[in-house]
Amino acid sequence: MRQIPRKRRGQRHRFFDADGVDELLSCVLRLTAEISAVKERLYLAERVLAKQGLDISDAIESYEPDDGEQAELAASRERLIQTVLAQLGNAGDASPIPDENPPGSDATGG
Amino acid sequence: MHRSHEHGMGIPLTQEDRARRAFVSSLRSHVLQQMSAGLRDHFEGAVAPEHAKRGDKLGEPEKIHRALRGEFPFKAYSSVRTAAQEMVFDVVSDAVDRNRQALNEHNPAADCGGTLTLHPELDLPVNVTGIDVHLAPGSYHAEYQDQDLCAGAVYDNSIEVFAFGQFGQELNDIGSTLANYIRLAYPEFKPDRILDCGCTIGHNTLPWATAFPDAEVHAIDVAAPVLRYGHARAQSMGIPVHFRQMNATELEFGDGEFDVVFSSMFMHELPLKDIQAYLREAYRVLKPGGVLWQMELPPMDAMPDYENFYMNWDTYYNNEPYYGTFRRQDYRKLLTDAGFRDGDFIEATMPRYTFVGEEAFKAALAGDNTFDTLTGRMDPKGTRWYGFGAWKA
Ligand SMILES: C[S@@+](CC[C@H](N)C(=O)[O-])C[C@H]1O[C@@H](n2cnc3c(N)ncnc32)[C@H](O)[C@@H]1O
Repeated sequence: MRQIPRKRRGQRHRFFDADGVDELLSCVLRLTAEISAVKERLYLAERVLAKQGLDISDAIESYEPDDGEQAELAASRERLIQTVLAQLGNAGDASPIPDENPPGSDATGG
Repeated sequence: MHRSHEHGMGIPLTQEDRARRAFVSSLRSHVLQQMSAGLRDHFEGAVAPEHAKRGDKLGEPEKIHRALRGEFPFKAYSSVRTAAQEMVFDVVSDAVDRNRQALNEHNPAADCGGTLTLHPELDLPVNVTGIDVHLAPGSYHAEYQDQDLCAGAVYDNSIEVFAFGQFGQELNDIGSTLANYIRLAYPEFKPDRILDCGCTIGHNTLPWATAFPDAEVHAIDVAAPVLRYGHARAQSMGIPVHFRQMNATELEFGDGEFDVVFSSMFMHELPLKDIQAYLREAYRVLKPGGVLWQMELPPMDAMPDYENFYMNWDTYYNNEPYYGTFRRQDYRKLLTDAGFRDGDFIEATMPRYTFVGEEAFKAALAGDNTFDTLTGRMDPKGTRWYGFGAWKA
């Protein structure tokens, strides 16, 4: 049993002339998705607790995570890094597309 | 816990899954509306006038493409759109992987009469296996374990994120629109047997069983995992459909077996020779008096220059290599070459049935079939789907 691949086969298209700009943009968007998810969760957490009459800001400031919690946080940071940097690894194997009507007549690729 | 879909193959989603998915849908909506409008403004306000000054008229999509390719708004739009497309599959794959076992071992729902017939020896066509179609890792056919249906789950979940609401609540607006168009436009026509070609997981097959409850509905595709999932999904919804693994270019049905043959967003993913073979087969399996319909991208001929360029972006950059060639064809001629009579050609643009409702839909059928800049586009401002086909004499 294998994992569903997270990267498609073939080279990504590059739109910007300078090396890495497209990849960087992809990283930033992925990062933004993660921040958006965290913000939503925090927002919901505060609402849930407020409904129960709890103000949590001070408790958060003085909290010391134990070893297990530290490990969980480290794993979650690693996951975040993998997600954000997903396009920086090697490209998958590019297989040529056999097409007897290549779109080349009106497409030049990028 | 929230689930991805209401049907029985929906998977549980954490709040984090939902937040990521919502973000990617918002991002796609932003790119396809705001950024796309900015690109158009830049073209009309700066690039086209600049070229006009030099006596250079930008008509052909490829000319517009060349003129825009070096411009910042084009690069930004394209780069963000590509990243967003990749993220669509990325944000759904975690939840599918987590639920892999439950999905593959789902309890068959009560039998409602639907069937699944696979054909493991079938040669898969290169338009499916040779590329990761529209950047979906694994395309339609990849299997990650024995008897796997995860590619179907990825498809169902990714379409939900991809469409940002534009395919309707059950992701079936295109099929609902066409089935109800036929029901309302031809009230005398009572199909007994209906065939969907290139059905994937049957999103747009199922509405036919609802619109024509007395008809037998068949659906074929070459990819086994999406058929397995489609069958399980339909059973869980209590909708009987007969799914079969088959190549549309060589239909394993006898002559004259169907009253309706249709496809939805299928032909533009085929090489031209396979489009031609599929249409000959469709003609053969239709009964005289039966009808063929394709819900498709509108032809280049019918659309303004800029829209043609804009729509063809996918053929350049989104692993849709056959799309440009398809849109350049004369659709009427494709059908007459396959055996249909010239005078029997039909085409229409249709408002979205599940969005406008039966009454407004009926009223719109009486109006003329307008093409406008939103035809075939995913836009909350009011897409019209395009279809074409022919009656078999
Ligand atoms: C874009 S999807 C169709 C979407 C689907 N009809 C819907 O409306 O939800 C294209 C499908 O065509 C299938 N396909 C590609 N070539 C085929 C062929 N020659 N015969 C049958 N199916 C094919 C692919 O496996 C894929 O599932």
